[in-house]
Amino acid sequence: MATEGDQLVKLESSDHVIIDTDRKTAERSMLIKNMIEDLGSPGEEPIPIMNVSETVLRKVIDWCTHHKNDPPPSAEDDADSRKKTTDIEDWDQKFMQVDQEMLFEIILAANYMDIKALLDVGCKTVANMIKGKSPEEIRKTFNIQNDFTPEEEDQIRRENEWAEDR
Amino acid sequence: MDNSLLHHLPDELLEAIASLLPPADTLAFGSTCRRGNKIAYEHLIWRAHCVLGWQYWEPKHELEEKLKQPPVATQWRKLYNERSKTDKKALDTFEEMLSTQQHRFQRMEEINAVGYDAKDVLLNLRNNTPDDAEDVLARRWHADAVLGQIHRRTAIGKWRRLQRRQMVRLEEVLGSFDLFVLGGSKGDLNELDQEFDRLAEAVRHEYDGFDDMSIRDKATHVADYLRKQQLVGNPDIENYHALRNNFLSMALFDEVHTSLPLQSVAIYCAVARRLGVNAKPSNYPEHVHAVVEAPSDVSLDGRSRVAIPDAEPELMFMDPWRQSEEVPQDQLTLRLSQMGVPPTQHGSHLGAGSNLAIALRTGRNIMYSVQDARDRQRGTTRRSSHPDPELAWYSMLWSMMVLGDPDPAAALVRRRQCLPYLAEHFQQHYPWDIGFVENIIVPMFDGDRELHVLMHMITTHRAGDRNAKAPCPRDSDEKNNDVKFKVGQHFQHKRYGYEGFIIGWDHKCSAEPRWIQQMRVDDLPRGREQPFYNVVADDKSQRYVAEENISRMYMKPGDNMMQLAGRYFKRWDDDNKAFVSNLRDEYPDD
Repeated sequence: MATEGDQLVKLESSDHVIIDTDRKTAERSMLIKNMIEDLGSPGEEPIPIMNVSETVLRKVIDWCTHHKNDPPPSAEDDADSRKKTTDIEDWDQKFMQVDQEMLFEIILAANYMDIKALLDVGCKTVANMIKGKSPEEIRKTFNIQNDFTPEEEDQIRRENEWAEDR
Repeated sequence: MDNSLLHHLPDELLEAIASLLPPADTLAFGSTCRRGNKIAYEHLIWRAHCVLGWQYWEPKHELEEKLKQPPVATQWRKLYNERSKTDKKALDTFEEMLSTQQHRFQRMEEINAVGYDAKDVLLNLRNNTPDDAEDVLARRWHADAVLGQIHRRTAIGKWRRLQRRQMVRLEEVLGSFDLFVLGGSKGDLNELDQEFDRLAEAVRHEYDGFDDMSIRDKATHVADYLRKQQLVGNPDIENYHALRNNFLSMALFDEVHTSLPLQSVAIYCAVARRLGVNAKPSNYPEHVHAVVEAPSDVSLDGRSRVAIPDAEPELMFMDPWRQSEEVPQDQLTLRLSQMGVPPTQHGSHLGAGSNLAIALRTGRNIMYSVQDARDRQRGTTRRSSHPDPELAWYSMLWSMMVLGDPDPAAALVRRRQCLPYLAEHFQQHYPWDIGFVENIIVPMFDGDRELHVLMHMITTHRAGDRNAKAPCPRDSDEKNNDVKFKVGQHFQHKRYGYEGFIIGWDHKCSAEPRWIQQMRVDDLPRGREQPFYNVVADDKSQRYVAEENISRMYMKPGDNMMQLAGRYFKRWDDDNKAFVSNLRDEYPDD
């Protein structure tokens, strides 16, 4: 029997491609969930996802499809008690094996579409790319330009002295 | 032009990423460019690093207060840096302390001086030094010793406040006894408070409309809850006087909750007071009750009334150790009469005891329990036991010494009685507490005859700590070559049967003539010219033993001995069947 979760939902990417999915998958996004709730039902008109291109939107929907039956997060996830783990489950790790452009597009899309779990995975992926590296190595990884003056660099070095022989 | 894709992310996402990084990586990220630096200074990030980095904070930081304020009100990153520096300094001092016996007490005091800011570091050393570390026993033992000293400093500080008639809560006064025996367990004062807060909330949650109840109903409901949770009372009545029953933390956090009536009442009062019930332990002889006092303008049953100044307060009595129900006053007065207490004194016995009186009462209970525990242990193999009877005894002596007596004239008498016991116990077990003796006990005997003895003791210990140990090499003196056993060896006493380990030797008996005579050393077959050994016995005492009485053992000593060994040795070496010495500055060839 078809349930509410199986209802067809049409999404429209920023480059005007219509993508079909089911309601339960789409509602991993709080943005879409709220829109559907406001409308009362998915309706015939495609829902515009204005900031997300087709390639990225398809990737995001892949993630939502895989995770559509995940239990909702528990209430304990506040800032202090959250464990500082950057562990990522295997499927998500594979999912995030993309070039940096796609990685940051996914993060921005997850942020815009309000998909907290996907945003977490994205942020953890980036954090893992930073961990254990020297500032110079981080710059290289992300193509960051060093815009400090020599004086500023000196000052930072002094402030961070305590951490040197860790 | 910045063409990093990372920088396409808005600040809040960069912050979210940075907040997932450990501190050192946060700093590395902050050193990449200006924008990264700005993000890496974010207060919330460093607040989280502080909260996750350390469990214990010295009260001067007022951490609880800081956490309630908006994050920008505190320089969290600066605070983080300070604490990291403190950790590093404490660790450096700790390493120096392990490397030589010289200045060891002084270095312990240096770490102790930063108080709770060193507790996390020390706990980590104590609990997480791996078994295969080269100096595992020394590390664990010294971390535990300094930790104990930090706890004692806090406890003695609370009692001194109490003695000066300053505000100290009942749970702090009693929890200070716990601080002596705590070691690495849960039950520090802040942890007791958190637990009482939690219990008070649980009571509120358990009974609908609790906040609207009368005082009388609240009082019985609190007892009902604590008894249902089995947090008060003692189902194991055979062990009424068990040492553990004197300690709030063990009643609250050990798997089986048992306590004496006094501790049950203290737990009851701590929770009840958090729920607006003014409950205090009573002065009742033999068995402490809780006295609940009505506010001046409302009766216990919730009827409002005109407050009359100086009127006798309306009281009710609880015995949470035995029951959830109220105890009728008639029953208590009848019992007092049966005990032969004259009616004029009934009032003071039924009323609330001062925190000072309750503390002294606890000290006496501990004295009784320790004596009982020692009697039971006599003749059996020593095992490490928690709580440690020597530490409990030490807590009793300090409480008596600091608190003295409610009557100032009697206080000096009490202190005089107590001093020789404290001096002996301190020198035998905790000589590194010398600073406490200097700062706290000396002023108590200012101008009294004891001062001279105290000063002599302090000078001797300070000199012992300051000066390098005179080395006893084996090759320099032929006589030393005849010393058969070595520092670190495990033995059994041939005549008395106890086990011990060797921590020093002389090539012949070098005790005072009186001791030699008293111990009848000359009656031994090999007499006073044979080598003598300084040893630590399994009952923690230090002794001086003739070589002919030593029978070397080759098996690894039990847990109790392994713990004691850390004061002198690095680890047990199973190849040589002996401890690896940490006394090389004194015995370079052992």
